[in-house]
Amino acid sequence: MTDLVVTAEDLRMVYGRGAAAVCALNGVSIEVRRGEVLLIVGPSGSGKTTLLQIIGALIRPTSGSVRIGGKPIEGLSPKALGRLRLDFFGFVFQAYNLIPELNGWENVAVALDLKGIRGRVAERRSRALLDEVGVSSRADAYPAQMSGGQRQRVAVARALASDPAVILADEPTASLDSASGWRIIKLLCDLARRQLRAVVIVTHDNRLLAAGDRSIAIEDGRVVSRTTAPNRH
Amino acid sequence: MSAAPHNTNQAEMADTSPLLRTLGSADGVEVGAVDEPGPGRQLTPRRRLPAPRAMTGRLAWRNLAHDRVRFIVTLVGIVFSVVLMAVQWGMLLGFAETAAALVTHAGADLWIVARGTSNVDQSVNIPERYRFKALSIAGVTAVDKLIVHFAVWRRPDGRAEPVIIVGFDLDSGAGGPWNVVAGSVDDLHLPDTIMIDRVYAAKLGVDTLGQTVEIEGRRARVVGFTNGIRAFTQSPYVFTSYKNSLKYSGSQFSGLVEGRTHYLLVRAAPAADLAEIREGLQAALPATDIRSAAEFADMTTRYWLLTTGAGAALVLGAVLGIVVGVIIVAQTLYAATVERQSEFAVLRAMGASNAYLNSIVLKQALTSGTIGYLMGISIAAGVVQAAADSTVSLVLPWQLGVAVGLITLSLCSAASLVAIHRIKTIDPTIAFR
Repeated sequence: MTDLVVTAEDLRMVYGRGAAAVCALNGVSIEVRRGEVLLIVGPSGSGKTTLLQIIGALIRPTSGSVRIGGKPIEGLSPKALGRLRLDFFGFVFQAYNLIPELNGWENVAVALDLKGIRGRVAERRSRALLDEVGVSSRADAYPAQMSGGQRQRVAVARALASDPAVILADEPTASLDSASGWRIIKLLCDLARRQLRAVVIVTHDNRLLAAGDRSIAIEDGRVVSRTTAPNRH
Repeated sequence: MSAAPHNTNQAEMADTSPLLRTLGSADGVEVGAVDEPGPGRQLTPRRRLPAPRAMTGRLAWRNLAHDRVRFIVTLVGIVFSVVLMAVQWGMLLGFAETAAALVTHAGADLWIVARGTSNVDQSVNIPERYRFKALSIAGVTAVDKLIVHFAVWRRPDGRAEPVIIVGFDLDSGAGGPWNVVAGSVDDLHLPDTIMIDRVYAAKLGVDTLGQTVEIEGRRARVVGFTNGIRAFTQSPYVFTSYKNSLKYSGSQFSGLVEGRTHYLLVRAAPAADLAEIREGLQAALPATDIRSAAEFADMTTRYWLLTTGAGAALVLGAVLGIVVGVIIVAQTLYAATVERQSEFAVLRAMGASNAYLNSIVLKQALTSGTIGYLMGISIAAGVVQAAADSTVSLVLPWQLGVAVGLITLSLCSAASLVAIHRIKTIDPTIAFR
């Protein structure tokens, strides 16, 4: 049984046409393994978020192939891609993107609702997830009543709700102070290692490199370096 | 190696998800550490109404309740639409009922009318002797004369009001008043006596029973009031005996001359074949039209509502209500959707289907529609109640209430299509910006 959950080969992504065309990715290949924390680092505009969106089945590359769970996703309908995202991925966003009208457990329950889990079961499970990520006390609070770190933890709980193989986190610490940011990164790392999930973190903060098992540095749409942490893999 | 975390089977998720196992600390990671509370934590939680169990319903309701000003604007639009529809259709039904009331309450099976007569109020005379020919037809048990014509009523202050004199046979009562609330039909046996509806009493300058007035230059005494007998033309019906009515027929309006009447009301034996009687009457009286009561009532309604354009105006008003409602609901739902497109983008990124996202918008629309309808129909019922003693005929039967409700929910659903179309175009990558 392979540990590879996502593989992408020779990805090329061009936005626009003609003279206005911008090449966001050019010949990028990547592998994501179960239980590892993969950091994608690079400056703003380097193409790292585009790479995250492609491996998360949110956008299609101009060329190249993506395999998720061993199966190619080319040719899948938008509906099928949506189902794939629901089954395979949990997303954590820079701006948390919690629904302001829903409280903590309800925000988590939305992800369960998408999988058809509703009612008391959903509430019980949502509260358990919030407990797992350390914000059970904020289960009934609304996002506006939470700190940034608490919001991001709720967002992590939401990402975990569908029991995904891969958590894709886009700049999860960018809106947090350094202490809160580190706690979120540690939380994600712990989830990856203890629950054998793959965690892909996109960041421009090179200080986070120490937390990952592997890292890929991207500049101008190209991979400029690949690093594996000592004693890992 | 333990089981892979990825698992789409919900039952397995419930019990075997590694997530639900107790987490300990690993590599010094403080799992579960709570960040310092932000300033927002000091806020007092707002009181919120109970939410539906389904998250889409909960989201729909919270989206509505979150922006109360927009919600109120939406409700105002729907309420306006509901009230306009209910009142306009209520007036249409009321006018339709009013226009044909004289025919439907006359108690006749068939009406013998002058050829080409289009409605009961604008009568053309026919020979009285036709009555005897009609009585000779098998199955006919009674034929009564009825006079219906415009006349001039002179109020005590000298002002003239057009009225419609209804002269009927007191013995049979066919074509006579109904809903008598003061006095008695028997009082009309006295000379120069009349009965009017109390909603027109003020218009005709009548304060009390027994008051003497002037019709076509002749004396008349009010001996009774009816309730709710309105006239589409706003010229009140004045009921009197057939004999009395002839006294008020001197004007140019009646067109009556000696030996002529306006209508002959035919009653048939209970088991008689009306179609057969009708054929017999038509053959015997070829210069007339023989109409069933339902047919003549329908002709009268159609004449007043369609020919005069009154019906079209009312229908147009009702349609306008629908259009205004659709526009307001569509606009507010669309604005709310655009405002929340980042949330919809997040849900789409998480794998929500179009149907899931659409159901949120649709539930918003239907929730708005239901609340707006209940408020609007309550107001409309109040308007109907307030109009009960006025000359305006306004009704709100339950069927109309149900129809307006269905139309309201339909228009809200239709209005949500604009927002739903917008949702289809929402790019999930917006969530990353």
